[in-house]
Amino acid sequence: MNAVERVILPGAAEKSYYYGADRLIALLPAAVWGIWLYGARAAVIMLITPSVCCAVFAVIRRLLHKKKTGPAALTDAAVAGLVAAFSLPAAVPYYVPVVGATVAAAVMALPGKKLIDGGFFSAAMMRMLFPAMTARFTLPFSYISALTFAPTERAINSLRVYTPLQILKDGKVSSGTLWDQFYGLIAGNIGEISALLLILGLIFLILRRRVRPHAPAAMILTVALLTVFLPQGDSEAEFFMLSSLFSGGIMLFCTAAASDPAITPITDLGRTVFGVGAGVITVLIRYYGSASDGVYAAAVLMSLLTPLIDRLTRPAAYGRVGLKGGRQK
Amino acid sequence: MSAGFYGGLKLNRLGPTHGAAPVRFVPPAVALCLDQQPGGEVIPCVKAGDAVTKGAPVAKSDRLAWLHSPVSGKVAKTARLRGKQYILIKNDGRGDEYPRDPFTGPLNTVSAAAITEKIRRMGVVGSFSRFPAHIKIIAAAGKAFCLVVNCVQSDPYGSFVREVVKAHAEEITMGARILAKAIGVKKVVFAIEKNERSAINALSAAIGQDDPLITIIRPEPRYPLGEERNLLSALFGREVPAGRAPHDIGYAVFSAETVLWVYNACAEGIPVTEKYLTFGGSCFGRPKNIIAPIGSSVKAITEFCGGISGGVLTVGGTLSGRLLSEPDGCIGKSEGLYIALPSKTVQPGECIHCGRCAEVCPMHLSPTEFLPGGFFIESERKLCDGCGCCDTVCPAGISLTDAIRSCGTENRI
Repeated sequence: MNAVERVILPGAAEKSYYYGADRLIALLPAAVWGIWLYGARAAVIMLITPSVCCAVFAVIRRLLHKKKTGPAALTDAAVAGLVAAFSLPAAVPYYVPVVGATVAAAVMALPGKKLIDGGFFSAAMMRMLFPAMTARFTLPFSYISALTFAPTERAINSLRVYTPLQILKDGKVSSGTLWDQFYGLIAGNIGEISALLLILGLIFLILRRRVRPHAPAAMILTVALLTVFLPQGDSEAEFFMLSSLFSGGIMLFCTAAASDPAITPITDLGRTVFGVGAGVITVLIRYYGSASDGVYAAAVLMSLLTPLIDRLTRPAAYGRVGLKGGRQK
Repeated sequence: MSAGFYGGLKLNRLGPTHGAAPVRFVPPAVALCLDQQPGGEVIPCVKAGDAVTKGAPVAKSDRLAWLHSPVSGKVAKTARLRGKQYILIKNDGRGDEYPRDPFTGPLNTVSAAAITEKIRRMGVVGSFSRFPAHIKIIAAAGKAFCLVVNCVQSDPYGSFVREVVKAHAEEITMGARILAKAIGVKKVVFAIEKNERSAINALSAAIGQDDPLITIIRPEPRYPLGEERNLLSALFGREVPAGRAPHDIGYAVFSAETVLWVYNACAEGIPVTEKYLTFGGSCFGRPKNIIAPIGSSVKAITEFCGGISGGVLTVGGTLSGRLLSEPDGCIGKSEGLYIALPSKTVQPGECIHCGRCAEVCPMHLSPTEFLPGGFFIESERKLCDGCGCCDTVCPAGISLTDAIRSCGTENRI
């Protein structure tokens, strides 16, 4: 599109075009928490993914599309890389985040309208490519050396624990308290453990008017309702519900996927549909799928449905009653 | 009281012209454009060298509104400029008036057809829409049950409509009664923004106590409330079906200045020769509300207002107007807003799909769907009236109204 001359309307706030910086800030507390819980190894993983992602992204754009990559686009790539890192346990060998970051960058650099969030797509891919390695969790505060490229089976096994989600999957109840799950003093993926800090990030984004609360609220409500009325395992329904909400990637989805305008619908109704759909898919995968957490697949599926949701939830245009091809409002 | 309308923006009043009394501008010469209404040009009935008086018809037509000389003086020439025919008249400054031709006797004995014909001969067109008033009256007669006098101006810099209302509340009220008779409606509604105290007071004083015909409705100010379809949503919660006119749902909407012209035509016998204007915006040396004869040069008035420094001139609205690279052209009957503001060159980015344009579109469109790769409905494209809300909120700086106007047809659904 060509540049156009425009008058400057006084008082109209100059809103920054790019959401990347705010999304990055919203994810930072959870990143710091991950480092505190899992040590330098978590820090290295969270360093590898964004940098590899940015580098591959810039190279692909340069070679394939002959486009220069500005700081704004790089921030977006960094967010995608960080989300990919957030979805990994600290004990993965380092080549997993490298592959994940490359996948994320390739998705981000696709030409045309952005359909899929790179970070969530890469998280889903890593779960498919490395199902065993992405499901081995270690105790919090059990710092594995950051210098070992791939921790040995023995080293991991001695520290290995199961996340509340994996325990729930087996039909049992985790022994930890709900508060531990809420604050994030449990085993889990680097970035998704602290529900509290991710919710704070989400509130920051809502206050900055980067996110409308509809998609996250719909997602949380859907998961809550489904799990409280159809609990699995031998736990109480309320405990099962809260445990399902606070463990796994639901809060990460709310903070990182629902804050990506490219993959969420444009109307509030559409965003609500998006959140409900993502919640249903997540619960279905958790109940019937082989993976313990379905949030990432849900994010990818729903983002592919976004153009359709946009079209179906489009508001009836002004005075369209009685118009050929029009809907009645 | 009123429901408001879908979308739109809340904008603050800007500029010093709000509440400023209008100043009269006297041009040395005028250039009257013969093409001031849809339906084509009117035919000149004077030639170069003729002496004309103020208010004398200079161009006639048997179906369109006539054109009158706004000054007394001599016709210099008729010329074709940029594809449009103009009559140039030199002002001799004497101000001799053409004999007035009002209805004799009480107005309520005059037939509707006579009023309509008088309005046409006195050159009344919509003061925003360009649409000839007599055609609108004939179309609305028998269909409309309510006349809406639109005293709203929602543009942040626009202020002249309220000055018209304040200065001519009596005349507008009388004009509304005349129009109500011509259309045959039993109900007249004045619409004016809630926060316009002085104009509301002037109107209520002019209407008087407990008038069975006239009521005032005061909607919340919101851009673009002044557009008639949004106004009807805000006042009555009714939407005009696509492709239909407001009178098809029973409302005839006339702007305050048009109603004033109707009064002048019928009760005083004065044709349309003057236009209220706002020359506003921070780049004018002395922004003003102005009363100028039709055909005055925009450039001369710009200089009268202290010239433009460090900005560009837009015509027709702060958000929706078109940019003029040079202040030229002449005042017409239907364009009153000349806003000069600083400008910047915006390189549009890629749509980030944030949905703000859909949030603010008063026509409930999804403007982003009109960009390449979107799916739009052709009939919805015609709904866009270019109010500019989506352009203003777009964080990527995309000209969505341009995109809607010029989008290809390959993605149509």
